[in-house]
Amino acid sequence: MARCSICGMPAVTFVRYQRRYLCSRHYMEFIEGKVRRALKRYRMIGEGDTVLVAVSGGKDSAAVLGALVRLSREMKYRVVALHIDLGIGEYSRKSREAAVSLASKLGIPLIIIDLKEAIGVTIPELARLSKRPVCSVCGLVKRYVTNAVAVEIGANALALGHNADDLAVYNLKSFINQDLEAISKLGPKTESIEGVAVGRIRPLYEVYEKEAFLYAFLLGVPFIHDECPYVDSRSIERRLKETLNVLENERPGTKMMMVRNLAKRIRDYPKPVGFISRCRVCGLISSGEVCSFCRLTSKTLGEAKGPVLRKYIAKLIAESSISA
Amino acid sequence: MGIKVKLVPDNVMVEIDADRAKASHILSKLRLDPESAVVIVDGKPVPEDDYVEAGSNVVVVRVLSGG
Repeated sequence: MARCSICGMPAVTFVRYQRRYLCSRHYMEFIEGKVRRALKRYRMIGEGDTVLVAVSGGKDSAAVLGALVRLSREMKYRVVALHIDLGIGEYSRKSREAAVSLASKLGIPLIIIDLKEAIGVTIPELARLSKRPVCSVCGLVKRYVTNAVAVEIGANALALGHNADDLAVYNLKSFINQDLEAISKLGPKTESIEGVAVGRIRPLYEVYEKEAFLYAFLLGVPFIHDECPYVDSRSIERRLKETLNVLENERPGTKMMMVRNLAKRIRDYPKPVGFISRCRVCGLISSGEVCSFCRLTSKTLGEAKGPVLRKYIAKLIAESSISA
Repeated sequence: MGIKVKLVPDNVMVEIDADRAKASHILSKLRLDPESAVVIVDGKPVPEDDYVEAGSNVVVVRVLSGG
């Protein structure tokens, strides 16, 4: 039986790129150390801040929420969780259940936005009506809703569960497409714009996908293993992830080197052309006169749902104990 | 007696023809990359070079991003 390289207790894993075995306790400290370092190095959260954490119900959001809650006392910030019920059948039902149990186990407030209830349609319905791919519609809606809730509660940061593998894969995919503007968005954080957009942070920037799973598992928090039924197992992202893992096996630390160097060089990539303004319909961030969420819902449902959703969120927050 | 393994999230049982095998051997038999799978024996994750005995409760989790 392998033993922890620090204390000699039975090991739960071997961290290949550091060539050391870790027991459960030292593994948890190792991951929380990485998260703490990312929060400080990239100035993601300050003392007295409110952090909204987007929780899907999967392992990454369980890991990021768990780590942020455990570090919140020491670093003195407040954590609020957000779950969006996308209306994707059984998958969404199980995800919602997991998010509720997770927030309850960690003792933090949870905001649930039920899309069907809020704007009258689920993600598959919106995708069908707009004749756009489900994943593209889902990404757009999630970006809009998370920002709208963060602005409403006056959060200082919106935390996402993107791990090092995700970022390395997006980076490679964008490089293959020579979409350098897309790479400029893959840094550890984005900045807030007062009243319009809340900055996004990625506390798991230097945590591998497998590490995030192991951390959530050892923390004993609930999460689901299921994959969204719309995920394409033959997608380029999936193939790139497999290829990167082959490289990681041959050259441990490849993914870490990639994300660390990406963070260092992120300012060298060109920002998307155009100006950032306020959507004239809903008042949130937009790259044109009307934001993409209001444009999509206006075209598909005959009414821009930005203001409807914002009103729904405001009512929900007012009725809860979560205040700005 | 072989080593019975439950695969998650596939929720299928697979039997490895050995009384004792390294966790890395189990992953290799299942054609899983050690970077994207975790072996859990009797409720505890184990490093890839730990041995797994037949009769243990073995779960192999394929680590995925939910979407």
